[in-house]
Order: sequence, then structure tokens, then C-alpha cells
Amino acid sequence: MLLKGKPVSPGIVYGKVLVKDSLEKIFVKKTILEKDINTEIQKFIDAVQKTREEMQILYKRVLTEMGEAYANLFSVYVLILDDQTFINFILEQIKSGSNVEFALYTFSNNIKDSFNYIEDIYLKERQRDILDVVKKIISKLPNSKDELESFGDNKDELENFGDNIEGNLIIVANNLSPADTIMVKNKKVSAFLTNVGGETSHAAIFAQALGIPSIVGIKNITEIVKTGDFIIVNAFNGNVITNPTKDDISKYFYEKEKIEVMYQKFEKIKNLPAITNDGVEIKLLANIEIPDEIDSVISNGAEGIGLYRTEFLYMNRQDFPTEEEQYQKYKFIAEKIYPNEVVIRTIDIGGDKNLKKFDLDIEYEKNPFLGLRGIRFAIKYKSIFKIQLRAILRASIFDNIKIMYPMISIYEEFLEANNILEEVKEELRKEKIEFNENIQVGSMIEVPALAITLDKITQYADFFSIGTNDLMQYLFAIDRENQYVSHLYNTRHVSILRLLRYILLNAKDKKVEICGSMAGDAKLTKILIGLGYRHLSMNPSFIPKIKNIIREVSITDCEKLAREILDLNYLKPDNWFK
Amino acid sequence: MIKEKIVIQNKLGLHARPASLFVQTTSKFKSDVFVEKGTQKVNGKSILGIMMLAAGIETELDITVNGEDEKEAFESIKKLIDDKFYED
Repeated sequence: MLLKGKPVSPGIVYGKVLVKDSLEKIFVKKTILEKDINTEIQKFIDAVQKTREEMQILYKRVLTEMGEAYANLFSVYVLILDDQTFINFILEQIKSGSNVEFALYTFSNNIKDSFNYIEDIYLKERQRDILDVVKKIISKLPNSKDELESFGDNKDELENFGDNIEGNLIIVANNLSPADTIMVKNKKVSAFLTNVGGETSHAAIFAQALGIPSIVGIKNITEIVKTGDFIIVNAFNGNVITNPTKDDISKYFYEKEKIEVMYQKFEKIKNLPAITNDGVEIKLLANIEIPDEIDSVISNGAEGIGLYRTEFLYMNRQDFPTEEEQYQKYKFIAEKIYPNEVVIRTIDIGGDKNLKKFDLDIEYEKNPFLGLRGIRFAIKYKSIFKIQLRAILRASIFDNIKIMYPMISIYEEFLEANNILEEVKEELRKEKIEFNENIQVGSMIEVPALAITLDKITQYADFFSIGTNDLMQYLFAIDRENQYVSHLYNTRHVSILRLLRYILLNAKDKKVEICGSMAGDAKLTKILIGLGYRHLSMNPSFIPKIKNIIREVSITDCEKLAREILDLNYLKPDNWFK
Repeated sequence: MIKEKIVIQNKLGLHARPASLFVQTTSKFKSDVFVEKGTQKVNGKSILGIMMLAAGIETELDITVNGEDEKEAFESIKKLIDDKFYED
């Protein structure tokens, strides 16, 4: 069967499915011997205890972040955990020789059966609460964790097809959060497939960063495929083939080879400049999230780092990174990329990148994308911001470091951030700590309000970088994660292209980069350079492909194309193209 | 032993939160509590049992309380239901 979705990170993979959050992976019944029954019971008791501890932590956290009404759900969970009917059922099952996983699975099925008779839809839905608790317990069992880790080891079946396929685990989930994506980072994951999600979600950005082929928005994929199924994933065109025939598989190898040939071509031009055939040079830079990516930056021939997203230093942990820890990371990157530049973007938390910290007094936000994110967060939590600025400044003795603020919506915010920067500089001067006095400071352009008032900020900012994902989202008023409206996310639309031209015309002589997804979109390369952009920063894995395009076009053709798309017949084109 | 009929009055019925309040209340007492809806009979101290009853608004339940503190136990349960679990 052929399924379709939106490809968000390129690649072509044949592999074995693991449905995430699925009970199916442990459906097997194993017989427990008399002598092992107590061990099995202990496993259950330990898992319940671990779940209880987690629920208590979540209760406290939700209580402070969202209030009692939400937190109460976690007390319900604890009551379910302690329910005698439940515990007795599981103990009985184990005593009669069932493994704990199968006992829990049987219990889940019984719950589903009993609730199926309920007509009241609302009350029927309450089975979720019970099933969620059971799922949680299962995830706390000793052998369920390595499920993910050991999955990629079974190469036997793959060998039947006579090829050594690198990595063979395809994670299928309803949705992936950035945290999920980063958690599987070191596993042998070769592809991600999800039911929902838009092409610019942060999970997609993560998948790109990690070079893992991904397709999102494949309706019901979690229902259609099962753990252990072999499928073909083509994350170039968004096709997924389930139950592939021999023909499908040989076609897969053919396509994979074709793509490899293309990549060999990319390899050849890797160290050549990105220059059009009529001599205009374009700088191709890399976006990175984690210092480990530096190797891929260099191997893909990037001429610097146009965007280092530092917020990932703050995620997936309970505490804040110290000044020293940050300093080491910034220094590491600056040294590695020297003499090319690295633009360090200060903490851009909020939106879908929640800061999992318990002690900040942030209330639940109804519209996090319109809420406390980016520089707004940094200004409110000045002490966190100052630690980061200190670390960046200390590392700036490598004079290739630049600072950039995210989510500036009005120029006054930029000035306020600069005041904080000045305070930090003053502290360092007093402490006689060296830093680059002339460090350049730039602003992201992501909010339309800033985009149309660049004349107010050009005298203060040293450079600009356009975050096209957020700019699109705020310009078109579409939630980029919402599958129902993601079709409106059209980066070829005249609205965004005119705004991009407008920005360039109003930035005076200041350098303007594009660092959002548009920069790495091969279908847009000609348009963007036709609009006048000369600095594109993207996921490093896209660089060879974009360079290949640039080397084959002429700037005259690109400008002609851009003019046509801008459709400025009713305006004087001369005002737009000098 | 006390056995009486009580009618659920809160809008959403015995969903998760009221069920947990119910169980928290019955568990405070030594007496055994059973709840019946039609032919279905569950332990009044088990949240799973109460949730599985799926008692919506206007459902009639038979409550049986048996033990040394049955009187106080029954009064507490009745008050909780009459107060609509402090919900509406």
C-alpha cells in the first residue's frame, strides 16, 4: 500500500517499524516459572513506585504551571495506581504464570472491553486515563527501555535482501516533540514518520539537523503499520510503501543508487565556491543546534555558521547550563569554525520549545507562539540572559563570534537587550576579563512589525537574519503545526516574497541573511538570489544541493524570475529594483 | 447495614475527578462500600470500579455501606453527591 505525507528531511530508507507509545511491542505472553514469580511481582511493584514518583513530580509541576484543576488529574492517576482491583488483577495474573507485561496488556484490553459498552461519550473517554496509567507503568518496566535501543540490532531479516542497509529502525508516532526527537538521537534511528505535524515544526527541524529522513502528516500511519513491519520510506517525495513487493524493493535500491550518484556529484563541488555562472558569489552558511553538528557543517562545505540556536543547551534537563559550560561550548564552536564566523543566537525559548523548569513563575499560556518567547523571555528573566551573554562575551576573544537576538518585534526591545549586554560588558571590564569590545550584534527579523520599521533599527543593529518560519507564521496568521491550515504555508506566495524584497531595500547597507527553512528549499533558491539575497543559512545537509543549483544558474535569469513573481506592474518596478 | 438509592446530579456524571473524590471519601471509613447500577456492582473504594460504572447525570445508584462507621460513611457519600462534587 502507498501512503503519502509531507517530506521534511530528505533520505530514502528501507527498514523495520517501531510504533512509539504502542502497547503492541510487548504483547507476547511468556510463561513465568514458579521460582521467578516473586521477581516478576517485584518488577511490577518497582514500576508502580517509579510511576507514582513521576506522577507526584508532574503534579507539583502542573500545579505551579497550570493550576490545581489540571494538577488534579495526576492525583486521579495516583489513585488508579493504588487501586486494589487493579493491583489484585495483576498479581493474580502473575501468580498464574503470566509475565508482568502481558498481565498489564490483558488488563488494558479488559478495560477497553468494559468501556466499550458505555454510551455516554464523555464517560467512555475516561478509559484513556486508565490506559495512560498502564502505559506509564509499562514504560517503567526494566526491559521496556532497551526496546528502543536493541531494536536496531536484529539484522537477520534484512540480510535476506542481500544488502547492508545502514540503520534500520523507523520510528512511527502520532507526533514527535523536539524532546522526543533529541532523545532518540543516539539510537539507530533511520527515519521518522508521524500522523500529524507541519513541515516546519521543530521536530522536523531536529530531524533535519540530525540528518534523519522524516515524513509528517501521514494520516493514521500509527494504525496502519505495526511494530516489526518492513516498509520503504522515500523522504524525497513523501511516499511510504507498506508490505513492499519484490519489485518495490528492487525499485527502492535503484532509486537509492540514483540518489547516491547525485550525492557523488555534490561531493565534487563541495569545496568549490557557490558562484553563479555569471560570477555572483552567494555565501552558504549553516544552522546548528548542538555543537556536535560542527563536523557536518565542515563536511558539507559551509562558509560559517549563520545561526547557532542555543536554546537546546537549556532543554531536556532540570537545571540551567552554567556560564562555564556555555563558554566551553561557544569556544569549541568558534575555534572549530575559525576564521569563518559563527552567529550565536541568544536563548529563544517559548513557542513549542518549552523550558522544562519548575521554578519559573510562568503561568500557562493560551497562545505560546504569541507569548513569552525569544527576547521577551530573556528580558523578563534577565539573570538567565546575563549568564549567557557573559559566556558569549568571554568566548568572543575569538573575534569570529557575533551575537543575535531572537523575536525582536519592536526596535525598543533591541535597545533594551543591548542595555543588558552593556551591563554585562561593564561587569567584565571591572573584573578585567577580556572580550571583543567590537562584537557585532544583530537582530532576527521574524515579526512583521519589525520588518516594516527597519529604518528605526538599522542605525543600531550590525546585521539582520530573517527567520522565515516564524515570519511566515506571523505574516499569514497560520499555526505552522496545524495540519488543517499548513497548506496555507506557501513560501512561494507573492506576500512573503514582496516582504523579503522590502526588507532588503530597507536594511540600508546592513547585511541581511535568510536563516529559516526557505533558505534551504531548493525550489526557492533562484527566487531568493533573484530578490537580491547573497547570504543563505540552512541545515548543513542542504548546502551541497543548493550550491549545485547556484552554480548552474545566472543572476540575470534569477532576477527576471523574481520580478515576474513579485508582480509589481502597478507599482513602479524601478523603486523595487534599482 | 445501610442501603439507599442516590441520584447523580452533576452535569458530567462520575468522571475522573468526582470518581476520585468518591473513592477518597469512602476510603476514609472502615466500612465496606458497594455501589450498584442496574446489575453492575462495584467496590466503592475502587476508582476503576466507580469509573467503569459510567454513571451519568440522573443515574440512580444503590449504595450499600456495611461496618462500624456506616452511618458517618453514608452521610459523607450522600453529601458529596448532593453537593454535585462541588462542580456545577
